[in-house]
Amino acid sequence: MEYLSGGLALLFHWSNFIWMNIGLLIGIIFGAIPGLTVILAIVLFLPFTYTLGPIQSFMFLLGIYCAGGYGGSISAILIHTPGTPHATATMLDGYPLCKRGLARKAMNIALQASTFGGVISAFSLLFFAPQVAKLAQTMGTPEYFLVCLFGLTIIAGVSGKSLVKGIIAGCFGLFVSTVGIDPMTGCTRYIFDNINLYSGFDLVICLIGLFALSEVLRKDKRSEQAKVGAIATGSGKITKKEYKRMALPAILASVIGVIIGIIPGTGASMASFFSYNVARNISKHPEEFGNGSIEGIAAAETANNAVTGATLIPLLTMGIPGDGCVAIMLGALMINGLTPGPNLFKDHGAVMYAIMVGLLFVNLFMFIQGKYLTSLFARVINVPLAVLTPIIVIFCFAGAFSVNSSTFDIGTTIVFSVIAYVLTCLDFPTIPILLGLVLGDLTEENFRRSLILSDGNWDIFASSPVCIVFLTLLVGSLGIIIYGKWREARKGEA
Amino acid sequence: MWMKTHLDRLDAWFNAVGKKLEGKTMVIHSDLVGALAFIAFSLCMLGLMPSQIAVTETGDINAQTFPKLLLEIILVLSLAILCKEVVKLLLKKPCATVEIALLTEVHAATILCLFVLYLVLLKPLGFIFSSIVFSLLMTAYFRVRNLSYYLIGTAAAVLIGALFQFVLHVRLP
Repeated sequence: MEYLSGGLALLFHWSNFIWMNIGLLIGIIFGAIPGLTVILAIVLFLPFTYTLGPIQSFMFLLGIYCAGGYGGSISAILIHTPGTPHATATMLDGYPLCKRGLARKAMNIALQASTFGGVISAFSLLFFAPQVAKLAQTMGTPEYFLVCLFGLTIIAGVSGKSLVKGIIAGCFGLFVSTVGIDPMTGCTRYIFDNINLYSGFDLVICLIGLFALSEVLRKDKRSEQAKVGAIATGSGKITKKEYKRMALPAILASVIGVIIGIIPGTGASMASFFSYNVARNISKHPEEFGNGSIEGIAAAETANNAVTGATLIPLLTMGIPGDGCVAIMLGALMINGLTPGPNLFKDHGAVMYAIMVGLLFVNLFMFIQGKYLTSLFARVINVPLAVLTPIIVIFCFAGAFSVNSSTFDIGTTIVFSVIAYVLTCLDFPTIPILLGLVLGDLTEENFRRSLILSDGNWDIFASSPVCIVFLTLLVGSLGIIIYGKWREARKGEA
Repeated sequence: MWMKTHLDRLDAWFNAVGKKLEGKTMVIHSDLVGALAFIAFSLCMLGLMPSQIAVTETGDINAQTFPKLLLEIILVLSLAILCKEVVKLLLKKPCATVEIALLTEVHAATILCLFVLYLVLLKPLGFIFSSIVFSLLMTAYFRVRNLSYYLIGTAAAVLIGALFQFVLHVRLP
């Protein structure tokens, strides 16, 4: 209670709300424009948070993150091109409604469902995160290592076609994170006598290369952009009967979104498709799905925003990011001296409560911006990539330089963009590399400490009931992933 | 007029090169190439490890332990992929392949050259002027004829430079 009141006092400052709204605006724009991603927006604007306080930074980044989820639905509904991958399920019913002249209604449903999912997610964060943090405080180094391993393995398994390739990519990310001075012994690793490598590869520099510049490399100038005309006329009003129809799918989707969000590596796409499927199964009008079902839009949009707060639970309590975007936000926390983990709630309780309550306001302001600026956002989709691409690159270069005021870092960024480009061509996923980079220090520290404690005996990783639970979860999840891939392969062969 | 004629000629040349490359593709064994690349990487890094990580501790767990374990995992998994692909090739079963369009790769290489040029120009020209040059070249790469696009790019370069320098207090080159 003391933390909550302290958090509210910290949150209610005008600058937090201004940064929150700037973030929301950026998030909706980046989400709406096909070809630009939420992860790109967070990477590009992360350097802006260097001069901000922890709450301002987090409000700004959460604004981008949450609004990106809604922004993706705008282009999915209007031009049949999802701005973000998780808006694909929304597109299935949003676009048919748009073709029937009901674009405004589809966008209203998407906005209200996104807000509903986001608010439920914020409440789940507020209630569950402190409990998980208490549980995490009882964990020792072997348990912590297994949590990191669990997160990495799940992400490696679900982010590409091949589990083995995902693990290789994750190990590559972990390996890159070991470059520089070893924090435990102080000796240097793979610096090749280069003074610029003493502190290793900065996360932001790697991210700009892996996710921003590599996207630019992939931009084919022949790619054509769809154009949006004026949004069809009509008030877009949702009737009471329609609200009743959407209530159950939306409630179920919010629960599914929260549960999926808590599991590291799963993400909004999985939540939206899963919820869409559940909504179709329970619907009295399953024939409408794919032809403009309002329940389909409500379920998909509720679920993909219900994930947002839930992904923060493992991040804030254990330092394990739920998805790629949240992994980047971890950087913003650490810049402000807040190391995610069980002690975060004990040492910075008020700041944590300010962030968690702030997420509620992020969703409310998203609703206001979406309600009044929809026509503007729809027009943003028409901005040509020829204008946007040079601006993105200039932002990337300035952002990479700002980390250490070094042009070497810009060169590093370019190298990472080429690595990401080549790996993508070879079907290797890049998200596990990001997770490896983010979790590198935490994983290595807990791994080495555990082995030092046990004199090199690996049995320590199965020494406690919590360890056994995590090992069982790890093996079970791996089994499910392998079975899923095997079924996919068999389907492909058939 | 002179400028327009030269731009038209350049455009025609680009069209001719594009037409030549259009439709030309290359099929590569993605898993095979990927596995070989990671095998080479892990072997190289394992070979360099003694010279790059000096061990000062006496115990078994030292600064080499974790990177060595990671490289060994990469090596073993890459070898597994390699073996799987070789067996598939020997049994004449379909392998994992990707089709690479040459024109797309030429575009990517061109953008990469523009990145490198931008980096090289940063020190002699300074951030704002090199950004303007890059922005103009990048817009030209998209074969844009609309002058307003070039002006937007130039204005954006100046604005971003000013934003980082005066608002975020970053001392840009």
